[in-house]
Amino acid sequence: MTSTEVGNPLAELFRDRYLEMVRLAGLLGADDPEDIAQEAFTRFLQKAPALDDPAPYLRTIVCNLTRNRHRHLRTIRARTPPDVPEPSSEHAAIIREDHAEVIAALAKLPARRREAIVLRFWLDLPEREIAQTMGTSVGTVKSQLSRGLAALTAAMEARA
Amino acid sequence: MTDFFNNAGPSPVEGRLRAALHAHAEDFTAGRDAWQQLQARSQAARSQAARSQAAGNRASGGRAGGGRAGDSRTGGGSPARRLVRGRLAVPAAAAAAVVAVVVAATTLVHGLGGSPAAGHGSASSARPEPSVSATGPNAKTFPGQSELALVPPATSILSLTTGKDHASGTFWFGYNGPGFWGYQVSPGLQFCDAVGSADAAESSCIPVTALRSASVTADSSLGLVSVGTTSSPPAIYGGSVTDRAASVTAVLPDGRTYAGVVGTARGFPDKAWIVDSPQVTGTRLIFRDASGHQIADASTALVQVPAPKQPHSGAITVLHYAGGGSSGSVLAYLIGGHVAFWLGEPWPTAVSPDAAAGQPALAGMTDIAPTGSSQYPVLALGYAHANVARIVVHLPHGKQVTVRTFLPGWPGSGLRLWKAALGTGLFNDKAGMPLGLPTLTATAYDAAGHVVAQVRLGFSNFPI
Repeated sequence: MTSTEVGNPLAELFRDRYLEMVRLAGLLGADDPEDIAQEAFTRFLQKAPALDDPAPYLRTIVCNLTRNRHRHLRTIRARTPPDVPEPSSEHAAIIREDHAEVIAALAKLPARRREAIVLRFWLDLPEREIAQTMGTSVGTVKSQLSRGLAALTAAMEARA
Repeated sequence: MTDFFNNAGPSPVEGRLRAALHAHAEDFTAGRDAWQQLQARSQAARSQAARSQAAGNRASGGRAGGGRAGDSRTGGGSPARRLVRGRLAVPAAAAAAVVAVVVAATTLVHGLGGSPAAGHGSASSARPEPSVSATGPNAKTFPGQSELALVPPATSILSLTTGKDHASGTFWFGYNGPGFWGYQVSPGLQFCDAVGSADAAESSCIPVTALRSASVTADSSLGLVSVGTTSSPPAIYGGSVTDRAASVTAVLPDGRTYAGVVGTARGFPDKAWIVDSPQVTGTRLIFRDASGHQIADASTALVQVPAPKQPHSGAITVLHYAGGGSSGSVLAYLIGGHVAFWLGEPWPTAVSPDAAAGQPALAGMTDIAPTGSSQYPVLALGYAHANVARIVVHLPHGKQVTVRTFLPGWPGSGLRLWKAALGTGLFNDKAGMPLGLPTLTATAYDAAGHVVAQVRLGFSNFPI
């Protein structure tokens, strides 16, 4: 992927986690996933918190940045003529046809619900860790997952 | 429940979802010069921060940072600064006391399993033997205290421990207490568990009717590691299983196996189980009967906890909120004679435990207002009978809040609603850590100033 500094813990963190953060941002619908990942690592390095496992903190930054970017995009969307295509990871990426409708349904979920779904079913995080990542309660995560799955199920059944 | 398992494996939707996510993730790649770009970006950020710091010092001095990680409004903050609500953590000291109480009060043991499974890996060969104990319904201190207060046990309380990490699970069946405004209208008998280590536990309750749709359910909690280590915490799973089960084994993808323990206690319609293993994606849980036949191969399929559907009509807007990056409305419905509050996405519903037309003439619950504010303002919501004109909520230290009831507009219901902002600091301290369950009371007065009712306020789904 890239050349990094051997023996540098931050470089090792980058090596171990950077691609995950790019992909997390992408799955959350970021318009520029790598920019999100770059910004997340930059903010992490600025703070350099002493954490045994920095991955949850990085994921939290990625979620928050992506959510903020969505707000920004919504603002832009409101000012953009509807016939102008918007850049998005979903449009830019080549998605296998058999997964397209799942990803399309996922993209229609509210941001927080989408976060819970991605953290649960892509990263296989337990709900407690999802709650920590999203800065919310386990109960809210349960609710998000349950309702998110119900929405996805309904969307897929409607297409069947 | 954190994770629910069943022997049918993931649902088709979950399988498609996982496959689609993993396939779609492959579409996102990192640039070849990402590390160099990051170094340049970090250097620029450091320079900018230094300039800002210098400017701040010249003006009036800096101020302390804060806020959520990655929040551009605040420039980031400590990951520890977040809302922790009841289910997540049990204070270490309390948990230690609990274990002692539960073990000392052992009255009934139906331990099952516990011997190392065939092919048991070397990593677990030195693990202590799993143990099981049970207490009567009067034990007051153990992991899951919050749930015990909300869903008092109707059975014995079962404690299971296993593994060198002292993974523990506490299990019981019970009915919602009178002050618990839960997800469901009349959920009936519920299975409750608190699963974790001596330092932290994760707990929840699920209606037995939901258990019947799956032969295995589970909560999970990551075990804690010593401060200063970087090893991954163990995964601790525990939950309910059909009473045919005699043993549980965690099987890692590389073939290592970790034996857990299955147990039951007086009054249990199903068995409970716990197992811990290294945290490895793809770990499966194998349940066997007394003859050694496999009866369940658990996967991470979520059980849909039944919750009332939001009605299409009849909504009463109780209040609008905005702040902390979120906004919305709290709505009230009358469902099957119960008052249900929709606290706004993504907050769950809160349904009155009693039919609103019955006694007492006043009922209410408290919860953290769904504003996203880091100050955790507390909100009280409730209903009262038609003759109640005002409500006084009594707060700690002699403070009180007085509000007037308002007519909800449900024809013929004879009910009024009320709402009160109770300020901050009731559930969480300034760092966001839970303070415990506050016991607040409210008094209802009629238009002439006579006391109509006085009640203790309840709690919605996840207090603290």
